[in-house]
Amino acid sequence: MSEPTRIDDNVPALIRGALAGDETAFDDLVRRYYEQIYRWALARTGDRDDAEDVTQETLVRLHRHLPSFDGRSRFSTWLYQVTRSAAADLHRKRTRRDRLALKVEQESAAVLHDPRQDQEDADYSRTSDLVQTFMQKLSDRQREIFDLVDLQGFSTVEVSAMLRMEPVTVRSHLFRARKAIRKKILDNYPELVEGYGH
Amino acid sequence: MAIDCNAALERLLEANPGELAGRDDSELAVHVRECGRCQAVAARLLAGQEQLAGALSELRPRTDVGEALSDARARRHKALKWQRVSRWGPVAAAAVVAVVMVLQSLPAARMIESENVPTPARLEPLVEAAAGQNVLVFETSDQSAKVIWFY
Repeated sequence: MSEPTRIDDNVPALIRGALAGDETAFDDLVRRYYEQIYRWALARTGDRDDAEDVTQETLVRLHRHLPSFDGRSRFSTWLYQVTRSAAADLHRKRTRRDRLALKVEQESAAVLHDPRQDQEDADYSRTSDLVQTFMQKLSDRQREIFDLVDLQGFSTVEVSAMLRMEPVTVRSHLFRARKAIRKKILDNYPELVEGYGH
Repeated sequence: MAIDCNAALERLLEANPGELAGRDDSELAVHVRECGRCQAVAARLLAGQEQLAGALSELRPRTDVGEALSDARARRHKALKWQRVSRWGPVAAAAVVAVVMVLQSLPAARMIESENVPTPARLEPLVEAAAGQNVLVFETSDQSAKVIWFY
């Protein structure tokens, strides 16, 4: 899991530089957050192409809206809002679900696929199953919250601030997401739950 | 153990990672520490989530950050260009109208009488649409005619 607090280190200096018109400072700011923006976009959209588009749009908006960052929240929290807004706008334009079922299966498999270990490593197909469950079985909100809390290490309090959502609602989505993912994990290891009464 | 394994299994599906690792003081964490079977399930759940996190971190953007920055810069410049066009467009249109009027006033450029096209009576537009809508309306010397300029 990543440590979300570290990415914000030294960011104020880069922001000041970017606002003063220093293109290098702006570029450095983007480089620092680029993969994080993509990851947020991916968790939010559940689609790699859409995540690319959202990331691109976020970079444009970052430049436009940077002067409105007042420093009251962490920069990553603010940037998450920008990313989310870009994702929401894209979502309105597209009927993503239609494309998703086919695409995620093919593409995440292609990315994760390593033919050298395919036959030997049963973990590969289990992981691929998990990625598909994450992308396809969770709702957008469940996926987003599960990713932020359990996979990226943000606290539920931080996430409730990022999503402008009550902590109790965040937890409710998180529990549902955990249940779906963990059931999938245990489906792959039936011997572990033998003997438990249901 | 205060809870049995069936209850523990249900709770494991929603528990925090700390409880799965048995690091907490909760009833569930205590159970996980003391029960080998539930400990194995909890460990598998943690490992599964780690695998998922690892797999997702491999899904990196296909566009290189340098290329993404160039694209974003190009889009910003394009947007700025359109902003300028929409700001100066009405002025440019008025200038075009003025030039047309001047040309019409020259003897060589006079239109034949049969066409009788009304000329704008004043340079300021009667109606100026909001920026970006690109329409101007001018009065002409003929009270019953207006010039509507789409540009």
